[in-house]
Amino acid sequence: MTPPSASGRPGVTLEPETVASTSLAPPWNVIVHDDPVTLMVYVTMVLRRVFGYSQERAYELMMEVHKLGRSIVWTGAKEQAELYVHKLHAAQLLASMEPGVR
Amino acid sequence: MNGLSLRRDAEGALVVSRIPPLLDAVLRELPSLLSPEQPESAKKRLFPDPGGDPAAVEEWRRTQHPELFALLADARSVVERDLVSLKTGRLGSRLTIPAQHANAWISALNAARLALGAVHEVTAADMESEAEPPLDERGWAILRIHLYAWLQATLIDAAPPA
Repeated sequence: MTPPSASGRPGVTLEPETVASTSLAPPWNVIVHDDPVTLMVYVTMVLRRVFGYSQERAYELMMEVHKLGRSIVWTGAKEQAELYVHKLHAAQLLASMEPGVR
Repeated sequence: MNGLSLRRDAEGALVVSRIPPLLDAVLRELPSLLSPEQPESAKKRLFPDPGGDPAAVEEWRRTQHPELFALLADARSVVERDLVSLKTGRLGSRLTIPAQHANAWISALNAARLALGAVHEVTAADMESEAEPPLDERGWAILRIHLYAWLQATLIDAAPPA
């Protein structure tokens, strides 16, 4: 037996009005910090290997780290950011993560 | 570095020959700089925190550090094994680094440089100075950082990008 229809029309059921949730998790930034000892060529190599960046992009980010003291090298989901920070730490780069701006 | 000779053998290994006694000695002490009994300042630099609140940092140390410790220990043991091939001859010493060990060497050299830098509080000015480092313990650390940099950069130049 089919329960009585709320619409009053047979076979037609009214769904309660819902508001779609758009609360996506905020992005996280992966940051590489400057270090006086680490070789620039090494930082570039690590950025290429970890993120798959081109030589030009990796060099550009490395120079930003060198000149500004830090650079956001990647932004995205928290779990992926943690994985990248782990890989950067495995390569002994000074890396951290922080919530980004949505 | 004057006098040194670099070549690849048939298997792709990097063969460094005519190594002077100073560099020979510095290379032999590389594993000791990566010992688990490092000074706290070196450990702090080699295994930095990722930022965030204290609970997140504690969780990071608990979950991530064991693997990071193991990776460095692996690199150290590869270097230690390869150093067995460091032979001293009439024209200096000779070291062979197999191609598949290059990444371990790059990592170990980097870690040793960072550990020395952290322990001796080496600054950007120290690294950029063209003057000879002073003849003291800190100066000796800076000299070793530069010597390791030479071999590290040589290996990076020869390594594939990814």
